[in-house]
This record gives sequence, C-alpha cells and structure tokens, in this order.
Amino acid sequence: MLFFKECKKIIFSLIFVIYCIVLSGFYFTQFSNDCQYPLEKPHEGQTDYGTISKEVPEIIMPSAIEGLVSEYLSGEFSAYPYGFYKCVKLKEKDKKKLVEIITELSGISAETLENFDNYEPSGYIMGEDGNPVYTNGNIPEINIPPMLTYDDFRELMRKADKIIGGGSKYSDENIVSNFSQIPKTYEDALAEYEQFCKDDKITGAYARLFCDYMGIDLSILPVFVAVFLAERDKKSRMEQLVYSRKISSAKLIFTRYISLVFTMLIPVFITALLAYAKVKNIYPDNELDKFAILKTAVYWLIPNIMASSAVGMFVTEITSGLISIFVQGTWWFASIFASSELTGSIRNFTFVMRHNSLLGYDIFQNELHTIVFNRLFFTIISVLVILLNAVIFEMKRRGVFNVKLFENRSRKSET
Amino acid sequence: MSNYLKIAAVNLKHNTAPHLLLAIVIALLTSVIFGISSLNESESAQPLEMFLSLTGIVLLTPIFLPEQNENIRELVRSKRIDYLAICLIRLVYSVIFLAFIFGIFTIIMHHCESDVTIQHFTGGFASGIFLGALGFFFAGITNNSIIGYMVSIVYYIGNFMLKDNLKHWYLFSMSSGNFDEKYWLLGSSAVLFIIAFVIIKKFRK
Repeated sequence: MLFFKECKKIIFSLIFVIYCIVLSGFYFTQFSNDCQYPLEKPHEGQTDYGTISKEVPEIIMPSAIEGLVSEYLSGEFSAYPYGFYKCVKLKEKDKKKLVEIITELSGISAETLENFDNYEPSGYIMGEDGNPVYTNGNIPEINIPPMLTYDDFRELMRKADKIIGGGSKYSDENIVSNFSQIPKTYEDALAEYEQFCKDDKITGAYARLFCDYMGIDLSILPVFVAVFLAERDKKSRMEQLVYSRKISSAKLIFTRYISLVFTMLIPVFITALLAYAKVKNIYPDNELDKFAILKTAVYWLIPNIMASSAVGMFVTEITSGLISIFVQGTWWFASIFASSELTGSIRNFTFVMRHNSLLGYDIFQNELHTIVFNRLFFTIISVLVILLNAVIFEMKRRGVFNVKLFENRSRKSET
Repeated sequence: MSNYLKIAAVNLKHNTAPHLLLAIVIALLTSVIFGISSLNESESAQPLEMFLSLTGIVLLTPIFLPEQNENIRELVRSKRIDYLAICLIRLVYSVIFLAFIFGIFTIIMHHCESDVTIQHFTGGFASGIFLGALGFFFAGITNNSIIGYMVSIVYYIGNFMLKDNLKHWYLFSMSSGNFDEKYWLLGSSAVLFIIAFVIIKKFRK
C-alpha cells in the first residue's frame, strides 16, 4: 500500500532522524527542564506574590501620559514593531501631530513643550554614597482634562502609537502591561493556584506549556522534511516514472502529504507521553487529566505540521526547495516576533501560538473561540494548498504546466 | 590564475547570484525591521548578530549545491581542475561577500549615528560565518544542502532559548556585552571548513 511505502521511506530517511533528534532535544532542554519541581502553593505572609497586569484607568492614564510626554521630550520612542527593539525618531510633521495628542491628553500646550529645555528622564542615578537613587525626572506639569474619558484616552493613545509606527508602549497590546502592573494579593495568587489544580487538573496547564515549546519547532521543521523528500524524488527523476503510472495525481499527492504529517506526529506523541509521565512524577498525589497533553497536542500542533508541510510540498513543486525554506522561514520569523507577549496574544491568524506559562487558565479560556477559528483556518488552508499542489502536478503530468519558476540555476552550470 | 578567476566569474554568475541576491534582501529587511539609527553599543549588536547573521547561512550553505546534481558531479569529476578547488574558490568569494555585507551594513549604521565600532563588524561577521560554516559542513558531509539549512537554522533558533547551554558558541553574546565568544566562533568556523574538505576529499570524491 502506497501510504505505508511512503511512511517507510520517510522514517528511514536521514532528515527524519535529524527531525526526531531536534524535536527530542527541544523537549528535554525546554519542557522537561521546566518540570523539575511542582508549582508551589502560595503561603499567607509571603513578601511577594508577583505582579499582575490589570486594566485600571486611574493607574494607566497618568503613567502612560507621563511616559508619552517624557519620550516626546527625549526625542526618541522605544518600539517593538516586529518583536525587536527599534528606536524611533519622528519627522517634523509627525511631531506636530503628536503634540496635538499630548496637548489633548495632558493639558500641556504646544508652546510649553516647544520651549521646555530642562527635561530630565526619570530613573536610577548614582547617589553621593555610591548607591543608586531613583529620581522622578523633570517634565512639564500634567493636568489631565476632567472631561477626558478612558475611551477617549485609549483612542488618542492608539493614534499616538500609529504615529510612532506601531509596537510602541502605547499600543493596545502593550499599554496595560507597560503602565498598569499591580502587585498580586495572597487571594489573587491562591485563586490562580486553585484554578491550576481544579480547572486545569494540572496536566491542562502543562499541556499548554508543552505545545508552546514544541509549536516553535513544529512550525518550521516539517518544511525541511517535505522539501528533502520532494527534492530527493526530483534528483532520482521519480517524476518521470510517476507520470507514467495509473495512480491519480490527487491520490498520490494526498497520500504523500498524509504520510508526511502522520510520520512527523509519531515523535510528537511519544514526547507527549513522556511529558505526562514527567508531570505525574512531580505530582504523584494529585488528580490529573491523563489525556490533556495528548488532546491539546492534537488540536494545537497538527495544524502547524500540516501548514509547514503543505508550504514545503507546494512551493517546491512550483519553484525550488530553497525558496520553500525561505518562505516558511520568513513566515515563522514574522509569527514568532510579531508579538512581544508570550502569553495571551493569540489572534485569528497567529501561526505560532504561544502560552508560556503554567498559569493563565482564564486568559486561555477567553481566547478559546479565537483558537478554534485559528486552528481550523490553518487546517483548511493547508488542505486547499495540497489540493492546488495536486492540480499543478496533474497539469505537469499532462504537459500543460511546464514552466518552473526560479528553477535551480545550477542545472545550467558551466563549471 | 586566470583560469581560477574565470571559474570564479562563471560560478558567481550561475551559482551564487541568486543566493547573493537573497542575502542582500535579508540585509535590506534587517534595516527595515530593526531600527538602525541612534542605537547604543549593545543595541547596535542586535541587528548584526540576530538578523544579518542569517546571510551566512544563505551564502555559505549552498557551496556544494551545484554538484549535488548527479549529472553535474559526473561532468565536474571528468575535468582536470580539482572539484574541491572549485568549491574552495566559491567558499573564498562567498566569505568575502559576507564580510562585504557586514562591512557596508556597519558603515551605514555608523552614518545613522549608531554607536558601532570595528568590534561590531567582527562580532556580527563571526556569528554569520559560524552559522554558514555549520550549514556548509552538514551540507558537505551529507551531500545534501537541505540538511545544511536545517541544522544551521535550528542552531540559530536554539540560540534564543539555550543561551547558557551553548557557552562559547552563543551567537548573540555581543548584545549582552561579551565578545570572547566571537573568537571561538571564528576558530570553530575555520575548523568546520577544514574538516568538511578533509572528509569530502577522503570519503566522497
């Protein structure tokens, strides 16, 4: 049977061995490393329970406005438009637009901002005794207009973010975490821990962590396996042989695709079982959901493997393996660095989903509808891409589609 | 000598041009994705180490690519000039291009008032050449460039998560103020190039 032949071919290939090594390497250095000790239950009287981002208008508004005025006076804005630091300097016309926003937010007039030359940033400076001392800095006095509502404030901050070029501290994604961190109380910390034990049944939380780590790898590794096999067929001129066979193009392409996805899932399931054993080992007396890691891996990771393999097969079919790797690499890179948040930033089209925390059950539950849409979207798109691949393969077979874009120029080498 | 120059020119035109173009695209993207103006010393290291270093993979991994086509390999074997000498020529001019890309990029950063020195150039280049050397080595010994790309890209990804485990071979050390790792990266790259050539000469010529 073709399916088993294809599976055998993949399993005994060098690239699959490397895939398994890399995947298990990731499992042991990342997930397994985070499972050394159980999550500690908070105790009353602890000095610190951590902080939590809470959208409190009374805290966000003054601190964000102060931040905006301060950055404007320094002439430089910190931003992470693609996940990496960028120091933004505004052009004159953008500065004017921003001054209007600052005036609306802070009551500071354009003239005051223009003529203010005693600006000092807040932060730590070295004191006379050699110890760091916090200074408040020096900026014009801020008087938030009483008529300014929180919605107006957020809208103005959105405009400011747009002027800066996106990814600034004032963007919807970052404003709360940057300007409204409040200390957790014992009750907050305990409630979170209870959620971890009861709602998540512990393994639910570890399942998200497992998929978070493995998803990073599984969003790019399958493309190499798919390209390797496609290129190997090309090298050995299998195309010519296959073209003359009876089998339909759709059946051939889909069988190859399914066997690719199936074989690449085997090490994922093995590591998922290892992950369960690891969690059971550190929580021997707790009630655990035995199948949580496996279930989460199915809906979280399969779409990643499917999409990455589909890109590998399709782009190699119409162009070359190198272009496939470049396309998938760019997509992976853009997805990984699109958000600076590692938890709670899953959107409709987020390819690499992140939830790098054992806590945050409610954040994940709030995102569930988005996650269902997201995973279905990538599954359907992958199937459509493979369908298109089958159509192109059939056209090539009939001699209709013989143009090969970006064909490897090495074939024409004069050396 | 003129023969070798001719070989370099022909290879450059037919084999290296697309990869060089891709490296230039990555360099252009780096300047768009990262801001490259008014960066302090450690911020300046980031675009060089974390993004521009990918040009090393693009330029050095495909050195053996043309001969991975069986027909070309047969043809090349029948020629008087040693196949590995041709690969060496490709390697030398690819490394020169890599240095050139890092050099130009560093000069542009300097003009954009970023705090860059010759150390930034060397450090970024060291990360780039090491990634490329990894790809070169694995592509060479397995006779498959896809494996070369896979290993070097996985190593690159690993650097975001395994900082402490990688020790002297950490690619982004300059961003956290350390430069010693760069000597290790440069030395290891040279070792990888030599071992790859020795293995190919001994076992797969």
